[in-house]
Amino acid sequence: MKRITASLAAIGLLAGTAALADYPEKPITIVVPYGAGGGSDIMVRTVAPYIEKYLGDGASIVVENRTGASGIIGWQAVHDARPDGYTIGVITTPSIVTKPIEGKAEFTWQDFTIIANMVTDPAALNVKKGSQFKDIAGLVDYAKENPKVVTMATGNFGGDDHLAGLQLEKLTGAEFTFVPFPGVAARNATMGGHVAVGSFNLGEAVNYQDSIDILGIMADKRSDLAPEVPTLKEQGFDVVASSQRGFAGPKGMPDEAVEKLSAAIAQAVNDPDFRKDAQNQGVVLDFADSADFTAQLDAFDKAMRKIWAESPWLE
Amino acid sequence: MDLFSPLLDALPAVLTFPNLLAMVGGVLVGIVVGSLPGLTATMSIAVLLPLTFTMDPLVALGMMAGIYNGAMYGGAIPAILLRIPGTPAAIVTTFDGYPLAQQGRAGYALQIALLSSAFGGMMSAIAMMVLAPPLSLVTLAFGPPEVFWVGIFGMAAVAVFLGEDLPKGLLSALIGLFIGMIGLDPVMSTDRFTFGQLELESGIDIVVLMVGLYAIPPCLEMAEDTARAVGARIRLDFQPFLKTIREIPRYFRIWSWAYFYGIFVGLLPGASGSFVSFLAYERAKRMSKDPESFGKGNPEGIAASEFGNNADNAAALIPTVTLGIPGSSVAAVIMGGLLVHGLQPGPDLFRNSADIIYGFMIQMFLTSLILIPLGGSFATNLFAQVLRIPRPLLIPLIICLSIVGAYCVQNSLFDVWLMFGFGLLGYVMSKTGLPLAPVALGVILGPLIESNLRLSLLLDVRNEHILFTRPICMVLIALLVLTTVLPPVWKHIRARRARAA
Repeated sequence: MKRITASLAAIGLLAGTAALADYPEKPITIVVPYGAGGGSDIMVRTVAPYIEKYLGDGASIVVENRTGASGIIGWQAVHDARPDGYTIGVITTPSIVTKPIEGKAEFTWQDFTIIANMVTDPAALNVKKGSQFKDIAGLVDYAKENPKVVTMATGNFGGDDHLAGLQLEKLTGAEFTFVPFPGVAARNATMGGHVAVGSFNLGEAVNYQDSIDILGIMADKRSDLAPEVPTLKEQGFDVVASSQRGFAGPKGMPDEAVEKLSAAIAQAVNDPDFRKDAQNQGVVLDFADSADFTAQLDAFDKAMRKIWAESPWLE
Repeated sequence: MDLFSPLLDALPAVLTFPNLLAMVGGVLVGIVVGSLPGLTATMSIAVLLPLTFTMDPLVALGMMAGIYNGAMYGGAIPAILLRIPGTPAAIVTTFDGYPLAQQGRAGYALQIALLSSAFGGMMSAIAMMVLAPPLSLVTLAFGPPEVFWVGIFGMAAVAVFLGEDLPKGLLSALIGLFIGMIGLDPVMSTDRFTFGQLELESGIDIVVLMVGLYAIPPCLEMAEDTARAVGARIRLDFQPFLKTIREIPRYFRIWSWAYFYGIFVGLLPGASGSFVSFLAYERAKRMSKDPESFGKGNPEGIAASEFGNNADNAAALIPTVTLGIPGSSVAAVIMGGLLVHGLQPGPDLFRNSADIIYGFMIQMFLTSLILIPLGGSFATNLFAQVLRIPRPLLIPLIICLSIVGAYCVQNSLFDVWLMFGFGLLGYVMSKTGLPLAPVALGVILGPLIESNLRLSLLLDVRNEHILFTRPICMVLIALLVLTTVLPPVWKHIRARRARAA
């Protein structure tokens, strides 16, 4: 009896390995936790054919939008899916890290199998063309002399734009008045001159430089997307903030699936055709494999928990 | 700004085969749905919208444009033949349409309605082409304080145009404002009325709401009178179409007034085609040498009403595509459709998706134009027979499409239940005579007013009372006072004079 069980187990094991060697054998569903037509959705739909190409063997990808509650509904669906490598999802910072900190989600980012990062869109400070502010130092000095007078358009409170502004406040002691505009409205408010400065990502700003000036990006180095735009670091302000978009699956995904997906995403990101599409859409490509992306998430998580403990960004 | 080159750039895409097919199909569906009493343009676009999610955006919009313009004419068919307005906007058409039909001139009445609808729609589309692009550039000057006042203006317009049913209309608007509050608050992201349901955090989707409110009640009402006899075969006697076309110059003056009212009312959020019809009809009656003949079968009455309710069509889309503030309930659904395709109203729409938005304006024009051949004698004869379809047969079809529609918006079964909930609400409301349109506008305008008020207060860092001191705000406040305070005062003065005399 014992021998039969053992051999059955062995067969099972063999079958398991055989199945994974052929991964993917059926369509892979990528859950996008935001609406069709939004930034994350367009990114996934643009990259999907390239990932299919590099997975090879007629692999196919189905994009499924599960919207609601700032991404939590979609992520919960990925979290609860079978970890067989056929359901994965898009994860985005800061929400995947901050929503659990805010106590709005029943999971944390550690409850997922991290596959790879694809986009790191640095936070940027932008002003209307012809604004009195020409650089970050000028903006910070003015905000220090006139506390709360400088209005800064951001996305939702607790989003990356707002957190970026808060980090700058913390570093310099300047005080801004944050005004949360939904979606692209922050850019329109900046272009219309309704706010003094707009905090929105480089990807949202780069194609609008005929009406706005980008004062600086919050990244370690300049971006390929706009090499002429200086970083805040260069200007003497050590603030790094960004919005990342990557892929993750349910916890316990087979290593083979993670490796194959990660390799295919890496190849897609280096595909010249895809790079051109990305440039036109203002997508800042930045591949990081599972280990690197996990380390980045971990560092960000620690930093956010520290801020939350000292001064929560939501009341 | 160069007006014609973006239109010309967009033209080739509009003239592709799938697009033409979508427009023709849309117009046919629109005429059929419009001719079925109880089924409105809002309902049919809301129900068919999800079928367009996977389409190319322009094809999807072509279909919506077709349904919109088709339904506005379709409503005239039962209005003339049976004195049942197929859509609310066709109520005025019954005044002279039905008497003409009784005199055996139903065919002629339908031809007048068709030509008036088609020209009204085309002229309205031209107004949109001329006004929307420059307005979209100006909208950058509209910050939170200005948008706040436009929203208030919209809510006030809802109240003013409700007329006699003011308390009921206000109650409907309040229901809408309440529904609009569900979800996270726009500034501090605090949960409101979500009862811990994650699905409710992002608020109620406008498409789910509209499908429930507009599609379910007619089904229940149709089920109630299944026993109602089906009409006999209807014969229409047409005069040669060319002869009717030669009569067009006779209606120019009436059409011009209807056009003016259509564009003006269309631009106002909250007022709709039915109101334009009333205004245009009253004007035609006052201008006529023989006002007594109105209501007894004067074709000029039909011309005014039908031109008016189509002249409102594209005009109502102008604030929708430039400011994201829909001018009517149909426009609200079309805005939902734009958002599903990732097309955010505002200057970006004209900048980044010029082909689509200019294409859409051409489609609004073309679908009005193809109304003439599609709605011509033969087809109108055929559509008149649609009225003989036992209406209960439509119930399962509409309910199936509604379920699919509500599910598809966010792939959420929760939304299906929500849709049925709104369906019941809509049923109770229509039984108690509460109008539906103010609900939709409340849901859209409420959050818009609230968030822009709060953003304005945040922005007012120097205590300059920016809500009242910015120039555009002052103009909007003046308009607001003119449209809401003056009419009742004027009415009061006239009433006193009448009593004195």
